[in-house]
Amino acid sequence: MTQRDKPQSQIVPILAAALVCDVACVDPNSGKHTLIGIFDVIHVRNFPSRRHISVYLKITNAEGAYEFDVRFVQVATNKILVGAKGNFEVKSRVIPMGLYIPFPPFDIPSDGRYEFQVWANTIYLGSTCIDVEKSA
Amino acid sequence: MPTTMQDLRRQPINVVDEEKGSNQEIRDKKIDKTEKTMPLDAEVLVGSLRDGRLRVLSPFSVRFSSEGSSIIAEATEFNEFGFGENWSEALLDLQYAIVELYFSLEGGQDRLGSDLQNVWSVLQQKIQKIQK
Repeated sequence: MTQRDKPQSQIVPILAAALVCDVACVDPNSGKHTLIGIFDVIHVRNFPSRRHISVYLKITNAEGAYEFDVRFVQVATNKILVGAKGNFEVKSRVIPMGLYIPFPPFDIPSDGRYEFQVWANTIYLGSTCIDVEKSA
Repeated sequence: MPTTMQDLRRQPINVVDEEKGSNQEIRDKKIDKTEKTMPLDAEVLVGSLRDGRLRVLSPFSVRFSSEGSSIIAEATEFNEFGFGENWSEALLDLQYAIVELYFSLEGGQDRLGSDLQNVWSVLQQKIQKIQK
């Protein structure tokens, strides 16, 4: 049975943390993440602004198979500018998990509030915001 | 048991053999850069209340609609509403409203009419108070 064929878990995971950063390094031996350049505001001179943004998620209380969906949304227009989808499986609820998602460069069209929305098995788990400010 | 700083210094250093991160393997990862707009009249399942005291056991349905420049988020099962200038604000307002509803019904369980008894029963099925 492949991951896709597995029935989706009915257990609602908890989004314990969501951090926006420039990049993260993962130690291949220990699996530890090191987040570099955590931020929540971007100062931009000219729009659209091409950015390389990564998200690190800490999820707890998950058990079973999940399809996740992380969407970068312009809050004012409800536009999804970029999204990342994938599958993961967790053996037990007591095992917390870290998901690191590096997005390829994408355009931020204008100033305002944006958010990364986290969905698992089509259930909205939460979000983390970043504010884009126009600099002189 | 060490009692002074000197005693503490004499204690052997606790060597950690191995620390592990919880790096999760993601399968079938796909990045989609196609711009899409989420419809304002969408109905979604919500699995969090953004409140550390309450855990969502079973996701609740939220219906979005717009009225003028306001967005309305409605949790039909709880008959509760949230308002805002956008989807996120309306959802956040609704989540706060549900948390407030939970604690106000919990505090007045003996005085609830039948409608509120039903709401309280649904809340208990969907939401669990975290015992500390």
